Amino acid sequence: MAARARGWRTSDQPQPLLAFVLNSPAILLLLVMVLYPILYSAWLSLHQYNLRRPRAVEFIGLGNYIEIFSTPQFWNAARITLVFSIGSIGTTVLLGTLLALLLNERFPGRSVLRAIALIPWAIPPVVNGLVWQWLFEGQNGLINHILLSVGVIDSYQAWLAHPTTALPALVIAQVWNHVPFVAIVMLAALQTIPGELYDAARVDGANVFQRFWYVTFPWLSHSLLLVLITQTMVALRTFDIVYVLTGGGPGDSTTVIAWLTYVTTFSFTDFGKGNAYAYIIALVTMTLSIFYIRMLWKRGDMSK
Amino acid sequence: MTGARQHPLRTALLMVFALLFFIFLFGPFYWMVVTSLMTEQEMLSVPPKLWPSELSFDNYMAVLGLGDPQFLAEARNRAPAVFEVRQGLVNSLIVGICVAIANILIATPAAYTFSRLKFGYSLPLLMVYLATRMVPPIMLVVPMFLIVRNLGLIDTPLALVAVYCALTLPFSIWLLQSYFRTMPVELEEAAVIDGASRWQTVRMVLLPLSLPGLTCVAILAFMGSWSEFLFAVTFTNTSASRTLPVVAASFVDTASIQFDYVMAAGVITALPPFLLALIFQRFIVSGLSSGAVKG
Repeated sequence: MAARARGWRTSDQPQPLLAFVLNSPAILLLLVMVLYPILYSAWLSLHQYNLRRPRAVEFIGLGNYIEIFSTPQFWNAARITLVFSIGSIGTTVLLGTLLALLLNERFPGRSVLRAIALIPWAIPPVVNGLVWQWLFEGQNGLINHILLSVGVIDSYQAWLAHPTTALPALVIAQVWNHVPFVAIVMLAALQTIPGELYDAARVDGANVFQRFWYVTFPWLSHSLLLVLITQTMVALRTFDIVYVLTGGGPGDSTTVIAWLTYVTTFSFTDFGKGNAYAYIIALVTMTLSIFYIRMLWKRGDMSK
Repeated sequence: MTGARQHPLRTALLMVFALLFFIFLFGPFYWMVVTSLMTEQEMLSVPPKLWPSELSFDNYMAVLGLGDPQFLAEARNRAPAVFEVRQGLVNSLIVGICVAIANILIATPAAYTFSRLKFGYSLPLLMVYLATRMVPPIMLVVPMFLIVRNLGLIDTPLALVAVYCALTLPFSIWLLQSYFRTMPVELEEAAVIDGASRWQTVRMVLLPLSLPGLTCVAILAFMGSWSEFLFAVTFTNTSASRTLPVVAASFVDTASIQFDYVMAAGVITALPPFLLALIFQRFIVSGLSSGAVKG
């Protein structure tokens, strides 16, 4: 019996066939639902293909891409995406890290705050958009009431209908939704810092800021980088709250690249160009993912 | 620092920051819930009331299609979308539960291979799973729409179930395999010595011990598909398959938005993920942080 147990042990003999059989449902599903669409999308992006003219499908090589890069529409969306991403990622990561540092301290009510902090994360993005739609509302919105009563504004503003305030409003809604996730990840990283490091620093006479800068911050830097990359991917895909809050407007002041892809494909039924947009987003994301995976690899999480 | 009392000023300062975060994180949610319990008149009062003078469940009645015909006819006049909420709730539940079950059934055997079997392509395969998580959904939705349309599956829950499985599966596999690794293999070896087959060790040792991990996977898969919007809005066009987020979003399509109904619909849409997050707070936090930090 002991011999049989030894033979069974995981590290003893390779079992590629059993592994393949057990993985096959997952592989099959991902082949059909992910790999095939990716290839199909690439193929379509090289065609002129509008659903309204199904017979006029024509291979045009990189024509869609050339057209995209030569229209101001794309560059405008790229600029808006960049502004939106920098604004939302910067704020989310800053607030999320502050929240994590706070939750790592001892104070009355910590467990309440920790439970509350999960709420925005659990709220579906569409509902998030609806809530902020109501908060930013022009006639009865709570934000107008508050800002007017403290004297920041002297009359009610239609925040979402004005080109200069619609994008910041979008950023705020996005930040609210994603701060909890960043806080959870950063808190987990904070809790792995050995207490001895702080004791050693204190013995060396480091004050609270020096302790943060020389102990906490280097320890967090890796998680911080991971969070930055995942949040960038999140920002590039932002679609739901644009749909609910602004619909890309007013004008095209909140037309981020994901929204432009959606509108091009499903409103103008231009599937060739839509797929080309989708591919551009994917290439940017892929570049980021390579960094992401390499970082995980370096840290040794993958090797075991 | 353990056991040492901290300066009262420091505690006070921490609590001020905590209060600010509390207002920011809880305020919008609170306002949604409170608005949903107000009458239209009270909702539009100036200055706004932070608490309704009388709790009214009319918005929920209207949105869920309960009450006398005249009341419902008025509700329908104000916001046509109210009549889709109930079916949306059913559709969302069906889709979410199917996705959760399918995730467990497909991810468990896959995760097992990475934690208990030795095979040459183990690491590359894990990388492939990880890589599929990076594919932006907006890229998949365009070709997938054509595929689903050609298969005649537009406006069916089945199309959504299949898509959501593909979207959630890589994370589930990743989470489960790292969970299985934390389970001591010695217990299974002891079972083998007692004459158990591999299948018996899985069924009687590994799976019962991994119940928290499996629960976490099911919940996260359910929550992911419950909240998903991009595929839901492109693949559905009638209430036969519209999920709750799509119905909720359709409230803002009209010229004047009826926020009392919208907030009630919003609370209903947010309720299941909200409750799951509170009940399974510990699981989710540990699952997310291990899944996120480790990939």
